[in-house]
Amino acid sequence: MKVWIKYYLFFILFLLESVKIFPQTNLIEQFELAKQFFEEEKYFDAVTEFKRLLFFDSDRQFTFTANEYIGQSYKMGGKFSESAIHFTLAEINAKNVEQLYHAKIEIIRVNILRRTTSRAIMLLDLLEADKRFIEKKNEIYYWRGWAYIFADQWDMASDAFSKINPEHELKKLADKVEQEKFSVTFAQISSYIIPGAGQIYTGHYLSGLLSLGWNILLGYISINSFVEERIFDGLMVTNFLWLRFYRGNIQNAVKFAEEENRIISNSALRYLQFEYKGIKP
Amino acid sequence: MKIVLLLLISVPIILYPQNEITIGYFNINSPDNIKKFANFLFCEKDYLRAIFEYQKYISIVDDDTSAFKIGLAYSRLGNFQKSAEWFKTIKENSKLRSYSNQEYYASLFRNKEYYLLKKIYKDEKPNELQKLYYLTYFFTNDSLPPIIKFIQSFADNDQESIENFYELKKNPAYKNELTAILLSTIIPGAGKIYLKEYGDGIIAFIATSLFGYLAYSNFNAKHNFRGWLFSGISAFFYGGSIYGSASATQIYNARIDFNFYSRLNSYLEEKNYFVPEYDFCK
Repeated sequence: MKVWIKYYLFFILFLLESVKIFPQTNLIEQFELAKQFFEEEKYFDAVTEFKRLLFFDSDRQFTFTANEYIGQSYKMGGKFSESAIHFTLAEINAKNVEQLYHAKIEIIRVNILRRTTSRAIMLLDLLEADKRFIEKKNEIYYWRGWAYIFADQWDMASDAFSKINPEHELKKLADKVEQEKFSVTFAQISSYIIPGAGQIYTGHYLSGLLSLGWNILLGYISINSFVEERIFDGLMVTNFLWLRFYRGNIQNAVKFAEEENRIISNSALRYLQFEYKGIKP
Repeated sequence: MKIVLLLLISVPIILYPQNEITIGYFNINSPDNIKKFANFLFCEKDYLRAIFEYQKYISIVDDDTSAFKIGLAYSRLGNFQKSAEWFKTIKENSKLRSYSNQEYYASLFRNKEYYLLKKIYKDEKPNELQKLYYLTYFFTNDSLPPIIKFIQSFADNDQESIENFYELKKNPAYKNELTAILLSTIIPGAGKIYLKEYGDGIIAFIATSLFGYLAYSNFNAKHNFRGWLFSGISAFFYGGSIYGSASATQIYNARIDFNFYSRLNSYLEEKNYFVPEYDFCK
């Protein structure tokens, strides 16, 4: 009798094990299928299959990994908000410090890409202050640099990269961009002093000369009116014509400087997108 | 002894397939699991994926509820042409048929197929379509039916709002472009005042008169250059005032239309286009 009970218990044990093993095998197969879609860059299908995996994964074994892959897939598809949601779910379900750090960095990278850079910088501040990630300082500086690049603060980006290495490739790039950029304040003030000077400073010579010409002509008419004691005429010409062109010249100088700076920044961003070999957000 | 043994063995075997999770052949892609997953996606508002899963399911199992949900999913994605196609697939004898009809008409309405709706109503007179049929008049240039007939298909608590929209459609507070132009031609800026743009009207009047006076004064004083300069500026303001009045009338009238349709569309969204709300996710 005792022998039979032993066999019976063994049989039950076998069944219980199969209870755990069979669905798990199924889930592993599902994971492999989803991963294959991801690797084949079929991100829509990858998200579907990872979501299916999550739905049937009652033991929550794949919660971190599947959410991480879903986040990556959405990111590759340019759906940054959805991506951030799934990286956050991955963060919540991280099983160790390494996974937690990885998820946090991914959230920061998504924030950089969708240009919510102030949020990315705030998250980097929190990460930097966290003693668990003390050994990750350089990586944190790296992403801080990228966040500043996307915030168009190249000087701050240069500072961040220089903390990793004063000769860092991206520090040199940030410095170059910062040097090439026009000073908006200088363009504005120079146009205050000599109308058209700001436009000439930003390389818009014709616009600068036209602006100078208009201001000389209308300045002359205004002064001439006062000289001829036609005070009201003088006030009208000064107020409605000369000052309008004078103010327009200053605004124009600022606009040109900002436009040129955008062109310089975009050119650097294009380099980063297509030619830079390092890790990108 | 053998009987006891048989009993002991049969107990787990009988119990074994009853719990899905314990089935050795647990199949994630079984029709039942596809449907469960589709329902999950639908409730997560991941409609596009839900549509694919429901389509996968109904390719195996004939299920009107899933087809109906595909229609709803397309509707929530804003693809009303597709949603109309799916609502039309619901069979005559289905318990969802009446709802699918309402949803079908609402999809046509939201897809701006007003004349098709009118034709269906005139040919078949379906009850579910009556409200939407009358509402199509707000979106077309057809002459409105009498107010009594128009509002009687709506519930008492909706009648006041519908009546307001009816009045706004019938007598829109448009301004006349020619009147605005003539007023500004006679008195610079008057056209703008007619359009209730008081600030612009007063500025146009002052600027035109002031520079006109300056031109006159300078010509009198033999300052011809400044005379021509101020004449040019005055003419610029005068022409600008006339042209501005004409374009402001168009903007004014477009704003009237825009506000009317914004309010009407918000109202229709709030009323869910007079179709019931379903909660498949409770």
